[in-house]
Amino acid sequence: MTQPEDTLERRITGHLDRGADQIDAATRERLLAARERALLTYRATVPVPGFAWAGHAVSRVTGHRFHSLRNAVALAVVLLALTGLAIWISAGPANELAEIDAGLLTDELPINAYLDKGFDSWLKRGSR
Amino acid sequence: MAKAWVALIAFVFLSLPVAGAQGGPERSRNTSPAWSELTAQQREILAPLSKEWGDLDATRRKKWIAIAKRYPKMTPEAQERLQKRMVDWAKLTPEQRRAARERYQQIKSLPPEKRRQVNRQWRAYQRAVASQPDLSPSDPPVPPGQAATPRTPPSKAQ
Repeated sequence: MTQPEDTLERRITGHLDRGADQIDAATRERLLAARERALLTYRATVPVPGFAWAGHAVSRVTGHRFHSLRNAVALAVVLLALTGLAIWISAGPANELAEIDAGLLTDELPINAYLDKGFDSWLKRGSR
Repeated sequence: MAKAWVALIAFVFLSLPVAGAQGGPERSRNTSPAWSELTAQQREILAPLSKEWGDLDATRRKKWIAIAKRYPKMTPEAQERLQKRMVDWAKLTPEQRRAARERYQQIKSLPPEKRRQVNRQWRAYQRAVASQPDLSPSDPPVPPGQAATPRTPPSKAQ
């Protein structure tokens, strides 16, 4: 820091200190209360220990830290939804087959009717 | 933060096709759940398949579990048909099952009166086959009043 800046800083801080000494008691109380409220809010945003490991784990992968509980909860909801979607997609072929097979196996026509090429020919000739 | 979300969502979506690919019909190699892992009700409904269960792949097991879930809502007649046909169906080759499903869906898409006509035709065909026991599968009977035409390929899985 240069000499003129150093002098200016001393003059400013001296002026502020003198001003602070002259603050009346009511203003001092209001400032103190405001500071305590700010500290309480700051403590409330400190991550809950239970989620801390998850935030650290993700930050290792992504290079980012999750500073708030809200982000961790949002992430959990998204993960749950996507996991449910993945399970639903993987179950798709089985459900599709179940729909068809249940109908086929309970149909009035037996399985052979759908496999018998002779019956297929019979139907085609009968429809002529 | 935005980059973290984008990376996470991209990762999950990239992994989705892997989960879906397991399920190409009748191709999954994962073989859970085991017969012993089924509920008592599922084992009772799927009892005809107890011996074949170990040979079924994961997709077919899930399919039978899904069918067992529908079973209580079926009519007694449908339940009886299902129980009787389960084993025969499980013993067919994948190609035969695929062919039967395609034919079933074709017939199912017909108007109700046409479907009833197909059912009547099946009974008539059965009578014709019974009355001509010397016919081979490659020489099927023909409807009354129809001249014999070139032979059809042999039938499968009678």
